[in-house]
Amino acid sequence: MKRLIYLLLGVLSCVSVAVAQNVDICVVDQPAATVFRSIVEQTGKNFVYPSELLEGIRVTVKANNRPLKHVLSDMFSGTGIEYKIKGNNIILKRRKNFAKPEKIKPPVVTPAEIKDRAYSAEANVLDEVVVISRLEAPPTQTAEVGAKKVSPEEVRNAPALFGEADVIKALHSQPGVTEGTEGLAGMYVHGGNADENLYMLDNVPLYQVNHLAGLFSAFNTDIIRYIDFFKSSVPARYDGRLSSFMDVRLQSGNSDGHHGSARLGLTSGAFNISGPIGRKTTYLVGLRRSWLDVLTAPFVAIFNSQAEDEKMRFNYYFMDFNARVQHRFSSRATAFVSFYFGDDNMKTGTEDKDYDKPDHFGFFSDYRFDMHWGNLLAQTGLNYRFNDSMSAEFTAAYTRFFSGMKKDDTSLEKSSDRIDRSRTVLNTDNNINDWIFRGDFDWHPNDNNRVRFGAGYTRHSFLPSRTSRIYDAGATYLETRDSTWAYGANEVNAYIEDDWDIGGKFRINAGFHGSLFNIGGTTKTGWSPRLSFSYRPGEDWAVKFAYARTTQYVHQLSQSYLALPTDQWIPIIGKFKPETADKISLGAYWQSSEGNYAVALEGYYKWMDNLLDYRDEYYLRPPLDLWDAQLCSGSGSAKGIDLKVEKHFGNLTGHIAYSLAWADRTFAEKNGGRTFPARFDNRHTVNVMLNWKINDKVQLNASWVGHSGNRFTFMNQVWDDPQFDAAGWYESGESPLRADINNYQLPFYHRLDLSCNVKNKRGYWTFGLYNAYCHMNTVAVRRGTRDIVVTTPGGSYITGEPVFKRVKLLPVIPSISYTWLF
Amino acid sequence: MTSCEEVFTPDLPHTPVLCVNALITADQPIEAKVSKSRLYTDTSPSATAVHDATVDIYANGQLQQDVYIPREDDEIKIVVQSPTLGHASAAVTVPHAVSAPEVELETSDVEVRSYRSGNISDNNWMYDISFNLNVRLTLSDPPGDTFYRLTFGHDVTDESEPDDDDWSVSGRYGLTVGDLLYDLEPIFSEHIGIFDSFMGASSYGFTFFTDRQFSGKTYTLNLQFDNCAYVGFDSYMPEAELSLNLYSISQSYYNWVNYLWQRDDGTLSGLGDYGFGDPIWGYSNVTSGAGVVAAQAPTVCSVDLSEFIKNAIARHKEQE
Repeated sequence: MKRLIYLLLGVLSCVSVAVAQNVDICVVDQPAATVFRSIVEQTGKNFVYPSELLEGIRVTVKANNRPLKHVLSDMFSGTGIEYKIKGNNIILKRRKNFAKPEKIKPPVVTPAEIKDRAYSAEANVLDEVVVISRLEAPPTQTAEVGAKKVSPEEVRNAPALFGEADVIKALHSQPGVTEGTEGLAGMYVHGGNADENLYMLDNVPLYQVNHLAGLFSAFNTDIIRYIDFFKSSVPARYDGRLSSFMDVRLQSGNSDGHHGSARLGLTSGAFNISGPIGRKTTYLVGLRRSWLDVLTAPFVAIFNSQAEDEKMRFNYYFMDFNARVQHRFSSRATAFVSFYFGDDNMKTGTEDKDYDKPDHFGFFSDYRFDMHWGNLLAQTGLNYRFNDSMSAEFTAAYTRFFSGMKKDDTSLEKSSDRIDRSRTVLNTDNNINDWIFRGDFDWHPNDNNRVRFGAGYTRHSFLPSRTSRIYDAGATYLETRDSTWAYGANEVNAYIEDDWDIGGKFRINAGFHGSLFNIGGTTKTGWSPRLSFSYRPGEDWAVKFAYARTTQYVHQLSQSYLALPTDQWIPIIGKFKPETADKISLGAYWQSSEGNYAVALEGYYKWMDNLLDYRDEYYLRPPLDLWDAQLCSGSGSAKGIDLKVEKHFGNLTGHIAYSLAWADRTFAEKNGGRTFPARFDNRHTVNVMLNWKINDKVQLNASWVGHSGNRFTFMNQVWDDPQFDAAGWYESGESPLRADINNYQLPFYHRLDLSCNVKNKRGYWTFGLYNAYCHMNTVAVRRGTRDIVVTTPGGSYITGEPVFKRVKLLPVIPSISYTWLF
Repeated sequence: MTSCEEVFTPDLPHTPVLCVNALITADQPIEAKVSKSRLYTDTSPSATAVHDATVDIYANGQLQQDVYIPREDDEIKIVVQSPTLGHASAAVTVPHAVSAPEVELETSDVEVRSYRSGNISDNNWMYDISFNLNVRLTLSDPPGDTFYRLTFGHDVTDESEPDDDDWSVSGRYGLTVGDLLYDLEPIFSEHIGIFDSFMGASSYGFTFFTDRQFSGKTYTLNLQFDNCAYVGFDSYMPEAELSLNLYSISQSYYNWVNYLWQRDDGTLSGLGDYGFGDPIWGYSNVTSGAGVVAAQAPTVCSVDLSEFIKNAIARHKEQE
């Protein structure tokens, strides 16, 4: 059965209505897709076509202010392709009985921004998403620096740990993006911290985007339409984080029938389906769930069958559930409701069941430790087109981050005549609730300007910690509740930006984002101007300049580099000011005339103020102290150069990226006030991504990353502990002598990941090798001991010799999955 | 399978620094121990020895030439100078001893067993009393930040009667203080964060606390000692006195023990060791970064259990 995926396009042109338009274009023997971009730029129309349609098609067009129809007719003359203009879409298909060109080239698959749906009979013959939109256009034709639109194919083609295609890990191959700790889905952009990236699902923020301590991200890649990623130029509609903005857009659903996919991998499975409900409504449902609990169940059962005294409990799974219903009221109005629920759930513990037996006496215990954490997001929106030049999207959303942990420890002492029972219960909750109301407008006053503006209100409710403890033993019952910090905050923001094409050679994207953050009776303000400017002296290359200020009102408290349910999001209160970053970027871009190769060279300098971090020895302060007592405020800077060379078309595609970067921090209450390098101050980073399409069925993907080692605070000296008299509860020994923060650079990190996609009639297999040549990389250095044998006249004994050790993680890890398409 | 460790020699310079450790107690001579830091892998005895240092002690800014007995409120500064290792100094204020707390006692689950000791004609009985003891210690917190440490002890007569060859009565006589249930006093857990709690950390053995939750007010410590015991004889009743020592300690002392807890029982050090968090280093208030100069002032509080013991035995005899 032929699969149908609709093509819905258009950042600039999503709701424009076709009118007679003239086009200026002059190209000779260029890929058709490249020419489309120019037409999209001039007309705002979208091209809709099966991905394989353009294989090997190159066109020559010379038009000077000619009607669009004439230009299209000339373009496709002799190619076997016919077109039809339907509304805002130009729909292409192959003429019947027209021979396919013999020369086969890989399909041009480009990401989509879908805001509308092509309701046409022609759309039923489409096979793959092909989108031409502004951000997709070559960087030589846009104003932004450091913007990237990522397609689901790019995500799927990026080899990943356990074969789990991962949005965040796919971005790690971009220059200026660092992965952080081995194997984890952390992201550090241009010297920023992990909490300085705004992750959005359909433009609504998510606070928790990781599963299993960061091994997997929370986005189901099977239902993603595209991902917008901004690391330097930031459109004015985004703010709230310092370093980057990632907006994951989901598919809308099929209107022609019920289609979907089912995937089974080593660690998780997914089932996705979408289809029509009547003529005007579509639905999309996606479910991804890990099945570690199923995998581990036999091992737990075997262990328990062999353990006489103690039974083990272990159950862990994560899941993501997405649902979306979209209804088209008219050609002007489309509404949608979407829902997302992501959850990690872990239950562990041990249990003695022998106390149930009549003749068993002694001590027994029952220990349970449960954790769950995740996100819930509910959103409804209305897209409305006022007229040919003005459209709007109105959104109401509720997003909730939650985490909870419970420890229940019961002990029994059983004798022949009595049972003494004691129980300790520890409970903690941590959540954020945001209500979001927003209106976003999109106005095309003329062919050269696109103005976006909007405003929003967010009601934040933070509950960073609520803990209760129960101690129940015999006649004693003690219940305590730790002081609860709860904060309510109101955030209002507004923005306006204009993307202005000045005579074809200059383009400016200028905007402003203003926000007010009211908390605890005080109001903090954030004024974030944005400017991107490009100059294109020739068709093939451009130079750009950008400035962006970003403001951040919330901060994540995390004592580790793992994504743990104990991590807390805290608003800026008290003496602290909103975090800000100012960034200047310069870029030079070149693209070969046929659009096959592209080179981008970008430089940036970023300075950050009011950054928050734990102060030195914060752990010595009792947790009951308000969180701000553990923090200090400081500044940071980051600078560097990103170079990327890409090959877009052909059997072998991919890119090579290189980053030269510096990042440092200065806090008055850290490191004695001295500036220190950031943890992920990786001076040199190289990413190579290659995708080799061997034939129509088999594709090999390879990703190699190498970077200067992460920074680490390494203390190689120790001093003798004081022998204070009655602190006898600890073993005196030695303590490490403090050293400058991040004073040591770990060895060079490098890793090769491979994957292979093999298609068949029903779907495709994916085989993967993470760390293919098994180079276990150093993630830490530590003081330890190794056993040595000491021989004396009286005999020999084994003792521990102090040594320094490198801690290395993750060998080669194979993976396999199968995706069934229907 | 998924990780390994490899021994290596880091290319990182190390310069030894002076280390000064001292615990200054009000009304007792000052003793400071001077050593130096060493490379972790250098375990030779001479690695920490210092032979060329001079130590000066200042009390309230005055250099002391003779033995100085510190008093409460004194600011003591220890300055160490070495031509090869440089300079190190630390200052601490000797805290005020807190006023004696009020004590309330309650016993429960009292059980008395009696055994004949020696010859029948001697009519000498041994009494083995087991009981649970609840002590409510109410302290009045003085103004300002105060850091506390509680210790408890007892006098145990660890001897056998010379003429008694009965094995059943040999051993430890007198009072044995049982297990303090640390979980029952939340103040002992105030240094433990949520994550540590869930990872199984407990306050067992940790009796240091601050006045952050009751600054300038009174606070009653709930001390539940389970499985207390007393062994005595008709002919010989050892003392039954429980000593409760409440120390007012310097912040440096509190920080030091808090660090020790984090190092030995907390999760941060483990996370830092394996690259998943920032490593923690030894707390020090010495300028060189090595050593701790701390101070304390004790308040001793004795709880006499003799009356309870006598009454318990008397009731036991009546019931017999």
